[in-house]
Amino acid sequence: MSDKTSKPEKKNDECYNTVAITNNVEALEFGRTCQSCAAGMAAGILGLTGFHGFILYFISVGIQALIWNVKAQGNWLSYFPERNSFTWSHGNGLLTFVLLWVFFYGMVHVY
Amino acid sequence: MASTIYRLITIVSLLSLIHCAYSAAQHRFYLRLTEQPFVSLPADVVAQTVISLVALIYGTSYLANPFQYIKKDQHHDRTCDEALNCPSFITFENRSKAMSPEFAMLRTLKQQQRQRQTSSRKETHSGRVSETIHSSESTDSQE
Repeated sequence: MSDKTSKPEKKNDECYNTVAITNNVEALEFGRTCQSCAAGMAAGILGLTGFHGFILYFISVGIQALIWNVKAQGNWLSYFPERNSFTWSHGNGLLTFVLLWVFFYGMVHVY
Repeated sequence: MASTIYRLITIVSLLSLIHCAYSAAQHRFYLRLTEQPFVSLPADVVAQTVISLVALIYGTSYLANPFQYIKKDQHHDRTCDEALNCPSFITFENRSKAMSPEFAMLRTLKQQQRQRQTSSRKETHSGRVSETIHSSESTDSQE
C-alpha cells in the first residue's frame, strides 16, 4: 500500500522542461523517419519480400535504439520521461518503410 | 564541425545506397540477358547495402537536434534572488531616495550653489531682478 502511494508522488514531484522534451521528441521523430526511409531503401534493393522485409525493419529499429542510447550516453532517463527507446512512432515509420520498400523493389527488380 | 562530419556520412551513405540500387538493377538486367534465374544478389552488393544502411541510420540520428536535459535547472548554485530577478521592474526614481544620506548631502550642495549664484546676481543687477530671484527661491523651498 505504501509503495503504491509513494510511487505517483515521486512522479509528480519531478518537474520537466517542456521545451527540452519537445526538442528531444523532434529529434526522435527525425531519426525514426530517416531510419525507416533507409531500411525501406535497403529492403527494396535487397529484393526482400513478405516477412523478411519487416524483419529487416525491426533489425534497423534495434540498431537505431542502440545508436540513440549511445547518443544519450547511456543515460536515457535524463533526456526522456519514460524508458521507451524501442517503441517510438512505429505507425509513421512503418508507413514510410513500406512506401520506399515498394518503390525501390519496383525500380530495381521489376523494371 | 561535428555536424559537418555527420552530414558527410549521411550524404556518402545515401549515395552508396543509390549506387547499390543501380548495381542490383544492372545485375538483374545481366541475368535477364543471359536468361539465368535470379537466386540472390552478389555478396559485395549485399554487404555494401547493409553497411550503408547502418551508416545512414548513424549519420541521421546524430544529424538531428542534440538531446537536452529535461529534469532540472542546470545552474544548481543559483540563489532565489538571482533566479527570480526581474530587472525591468526596478525603478530608481522613487521618493525613498530622499532618505539616503548622499541625497541630503547633494541637496545641501545644490542649495549652497544656488545661494552663491543669487548673491552674485544681486551684486550685479538691480532690485527688479532680485524680486524674481526671491520668487525662484520660494519655489526651491517648496521642493
